[in-house]
Amino acid sequence: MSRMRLYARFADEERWKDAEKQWLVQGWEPVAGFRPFAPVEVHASPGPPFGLWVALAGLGCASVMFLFETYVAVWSWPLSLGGKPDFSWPAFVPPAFEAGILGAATVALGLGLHALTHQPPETRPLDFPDEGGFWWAVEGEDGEALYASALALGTEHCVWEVLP
Amino acid sequence: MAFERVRNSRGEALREAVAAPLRRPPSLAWQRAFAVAVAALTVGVVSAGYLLYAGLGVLGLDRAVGWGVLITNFVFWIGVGHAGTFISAVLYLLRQPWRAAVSRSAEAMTLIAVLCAGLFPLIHLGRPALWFYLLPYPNSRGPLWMNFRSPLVWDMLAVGTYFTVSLGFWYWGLIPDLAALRRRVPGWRGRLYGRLSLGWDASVGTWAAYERTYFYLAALATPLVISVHSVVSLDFAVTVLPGWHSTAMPPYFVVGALYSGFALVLVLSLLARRTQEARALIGEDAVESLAKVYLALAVFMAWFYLGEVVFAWRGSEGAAWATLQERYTGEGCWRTWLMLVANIGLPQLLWHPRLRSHPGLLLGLALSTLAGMWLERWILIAGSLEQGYLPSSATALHCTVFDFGITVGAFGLFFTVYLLFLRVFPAFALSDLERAQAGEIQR
Repeated sequence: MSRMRLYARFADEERWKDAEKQWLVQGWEPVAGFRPFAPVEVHASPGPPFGLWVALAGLGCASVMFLFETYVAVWSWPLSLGGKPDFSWPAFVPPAFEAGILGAATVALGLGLHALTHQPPETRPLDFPDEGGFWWAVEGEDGEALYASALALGTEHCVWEVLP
Repeated sequence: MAFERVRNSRGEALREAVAAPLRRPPSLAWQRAFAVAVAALTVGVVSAGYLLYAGLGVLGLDRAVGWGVLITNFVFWIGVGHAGTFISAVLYLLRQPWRAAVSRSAEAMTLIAVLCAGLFPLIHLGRPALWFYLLPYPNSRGPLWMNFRSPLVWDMLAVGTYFTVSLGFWYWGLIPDLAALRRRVPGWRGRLYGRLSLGWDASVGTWAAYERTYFYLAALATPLVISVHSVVSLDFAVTVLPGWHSTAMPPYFVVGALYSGFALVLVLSLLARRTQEARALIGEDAVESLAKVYLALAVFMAWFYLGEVVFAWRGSEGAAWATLQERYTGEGCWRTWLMLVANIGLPQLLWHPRLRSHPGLLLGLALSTLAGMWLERWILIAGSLEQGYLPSSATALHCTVFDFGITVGAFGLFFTVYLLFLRVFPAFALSDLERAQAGEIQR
């Protein structure tokens, strides 16, 4: 018997979440979920190492900018401005702050772009962003039983494919 | 089973509502607005072109008032952009669902406003071709660097950072919406959406990567809302000029920036409702929420105007008090009173709930606030320079036709680019709207 993959659409987020739990209990294998907006739970989990890289980039860029300003003002091009000391460090803080934000944001965006463009390549029968709605892709050997379980869970629509 | 299109009916109406204005030919309201904007832009281009040919002497600047209408425009437009970042970043972190209806156009507003603002210091240089002197680069004239202790250099770095982060934030927010619309919008725009959406597949893993980055970009953009206009205010606050030299300047500038920005977001939302026929997308609740924030900011502005008077009155700096008295009772006091009426008088009408949902009244109030906030910047910048410590500084700025032409042109540039944006990119954050809709259904 060849292996089947069923794409099942659910009416709303609650039924979509419930379907995953039920399929796992029944021993089926939900391999991928698709949805029109981000799950709420991912909001609260932006932990390291992503955050660590962003923080390091911000602190690194701010430090480099601060040192660069110090080099320019103290050694390379010391200007006498009303008798103020060359190392007037409070005045170096705003550019260092901006450089820190810029560096951190650039690294966050770069890591995000890398993550988006390095998802596992896969050909899918539907363009899910265009279709909209809440979908699960579930795999199993017995296509009819899988289809019956999807119907029992209240799926609105199914599309299946035979895996090579 | 055939691989038929099985579009979800609940989200389908929303997707079609966002895509439809991009498929339709421009509405008559859009064409009229575009014609007015291009006419204003033409006035600005001719004025700026002549200024670049003849020099800064064609403006109303004199030996005392070296910063006039051009710098007023710079400060005004930088401020206007703030509301976009506030709505996108701060309200995102605070989970405000009403932001979904206006966030995308507010982000575009930020980018276009910062572009408009950036033109003015360039023109004000007098020799814009030498703008790169502002950059810290190794050069052949020995160890010659810009002065990092100057707020003008901080300003350039702050505005550059603000624009770059806002651009990244705007693009990142667009990615899921471009993917959702790439097959619904025909022609070159559909192909462009396909390229820019980076193979977005709407899977849970993709959403997790997306949200993680969006969260960090929002968290990083939030301090920018505070820092950028604070840095702009330091251009003035670190001088010794009465009227400028005040530690209250950074919060005063930030609140003023948000206030003018929210006024423009109101104008753009009402414009989008009309030109994009998007009344269903920008609902009454979103407009009313915008109006409430706008009213709150008007009250904050009143507090800062009062504080400005108290600080000058009770402070030890006699010249600051004299400058303020001149603003309120001197020859040009009409500007101050007009500004007070527009900025804190008229918006008090919005305490009445029914008036907060009246589009015509809101549009009128928001436009009067924009004019009032421009006047405030003008009074602060040129008005303070007209006083100063020296008797010889007591001059009056006489604006020329070129001052007005370039100001009109900036509004023309802003609205021209914004209206083109409405024709090229989706004006609404589709995924945020779907989330808001799902939340409403659950409630």
